[in-house]
Amino acid sequence: MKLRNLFSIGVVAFALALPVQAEEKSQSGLDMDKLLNLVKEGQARDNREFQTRMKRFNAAKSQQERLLAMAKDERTRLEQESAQKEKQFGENEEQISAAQERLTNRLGALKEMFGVLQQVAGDTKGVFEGSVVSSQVEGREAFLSNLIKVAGSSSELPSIENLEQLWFEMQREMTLTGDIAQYTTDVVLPSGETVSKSVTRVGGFNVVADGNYLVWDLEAKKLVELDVQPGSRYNGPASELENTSSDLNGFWIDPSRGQLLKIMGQTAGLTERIQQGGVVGYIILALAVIGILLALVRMVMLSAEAKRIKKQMNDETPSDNNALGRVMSVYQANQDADTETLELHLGEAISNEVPRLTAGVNWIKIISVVAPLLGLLGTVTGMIDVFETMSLFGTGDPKLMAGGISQALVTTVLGLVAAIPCVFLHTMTNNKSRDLIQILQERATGILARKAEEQYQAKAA
Amino acid sequence: MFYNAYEQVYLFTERGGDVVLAILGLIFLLWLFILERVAYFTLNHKDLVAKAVEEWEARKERTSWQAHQIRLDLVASVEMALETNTRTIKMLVGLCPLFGLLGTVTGMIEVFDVMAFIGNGSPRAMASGISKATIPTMAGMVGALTGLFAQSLIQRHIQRQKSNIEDKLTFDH
Repeated sequence: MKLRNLFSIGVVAFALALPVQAEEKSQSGLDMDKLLNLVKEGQARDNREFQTRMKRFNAAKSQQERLLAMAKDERTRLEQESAQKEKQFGENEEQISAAQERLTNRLGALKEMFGVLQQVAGDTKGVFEGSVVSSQVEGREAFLSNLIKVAGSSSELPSIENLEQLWFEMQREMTLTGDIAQYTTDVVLPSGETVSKSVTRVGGFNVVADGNYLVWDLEAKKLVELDVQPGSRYNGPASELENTSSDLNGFWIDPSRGQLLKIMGQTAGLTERIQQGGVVGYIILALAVIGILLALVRMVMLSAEAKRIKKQMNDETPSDNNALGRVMSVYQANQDADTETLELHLGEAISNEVPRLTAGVNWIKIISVVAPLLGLLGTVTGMIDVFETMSLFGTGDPKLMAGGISQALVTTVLGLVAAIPCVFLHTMTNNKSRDLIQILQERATGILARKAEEQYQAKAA
Repeated sequence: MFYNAYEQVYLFTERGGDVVLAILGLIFLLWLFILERVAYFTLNHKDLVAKAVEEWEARKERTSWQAHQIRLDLVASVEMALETNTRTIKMLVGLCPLFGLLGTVTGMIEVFDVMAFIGNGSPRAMASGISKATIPTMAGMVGALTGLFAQSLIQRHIQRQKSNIEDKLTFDH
């Protein structure tokens, strides 16, 4: 009956889908009557199949009942067996606990000792793994791992030899960390290749080879040469130590066993620092370069001018190559004019010279003022960066803020570094040009007057 | 006692970093210039004034245009000698706080470097950077303050001397 229901549902579903397809099917000549006939034929065929299946099931029924009886017998048998095994298990359990109690009683204080032994061996293993001495003495970890396993297991006991060797290894580590040793071992170079090198180990702290510091890599269990060495101040004594024969020798020890050396390699260099300053930093540096060049050019020109003026002060005939000379020639051209006209001419000649002497000096001053201001600008933009990061990620991780902070600080430093020489050079060039102007403005007329007087007296005599 | 003082200075410069050395050099230079001025005022200045007065008094007449110009020249040369290095002193006083600020910022960079490596949980690790930030500032301030004091005294002395020399070179007796 079920099958028929299913079928009728199928037909209904088909009929529902039919209107959509009807138009298409009419072209292939399949119409509704033919479909009805097909459905009828199908129903008759299904009925026949159902009858034959029923017959087959009825025939098999008696056999199934026989099989069921057999399975029930089997189950009762297995249940009995299970009960028996369970009893056996309980008895065994009791025996084991009794035996264990006996073992504990007989071990007594020894049991506690093995616990301590296991703990000590574990600690020692940790120490050995981190120690650079492991590059000199090999195979200690394997022995310790084995000892820890044996001491922890209930079926095996550590032997006297094992205990003595543990004591020996601890003593050896202590002795070796107290001396300086030279030996040959594998070293991993920064390029990645492993070579055999003669290395010098200083206690448990550092290892050097060819004047370069090595660090002990925990994972690889190998000595690795630092790719960034701390610099000649530290590497020099290291190579001296390797080649020395004297008892006393200076050497830089990294007490953190290489950690500080690694950090040292990570600190930013000068170029990286400048890069941290960003665009503002580059602008400040460009300004500094302009200011310093300008100041140097002005210094050279003013020095030459001062030399020529000094020479002119001791010379009667005015020469055209210096400011004082030009003022003097104006005086000589107007010697016969009355004093007021002469003063006007002289004043004009002097004020013509002033801009030539002070040119560029003010620019240096402007740069020396603008550079710290730009540094402040960089500081503020950097701080804005920091606060943006803080609003996004919170204040938990200072590393995230490091970019903005370093920009802020580096631009300030650059601003000051640019301003300090500019202030200095401005004062120097300003002093020089002021001196020359003072000579022109206040002394020129005096020098001229004195010369005129001398000439007058010479004539009178 | 001397060794103790040396130890103090050594510790001070060590805690403050390289910038403190620069500031100490700057202060040394500043006081060198100040002492040079003081030495000039006490030793050379009177001779120069006497020479100018002598030249002025030796003149036959002190009223003509030429005489006026020569008087201006005499006054100006004395004034120029008085004012030598005063601008340099002023500059050095101005540079002291700038160097102090430089030390502050480089110290702060060190602090933030430490923070980037080991986080902000360890004030002890940052102490070195902080002392490098604060000690130069203090040194710069102290240098600038002492220099400023001396500089204003020198400036006032120069002003007085200027009016003195103008008074001494009178037009007529």
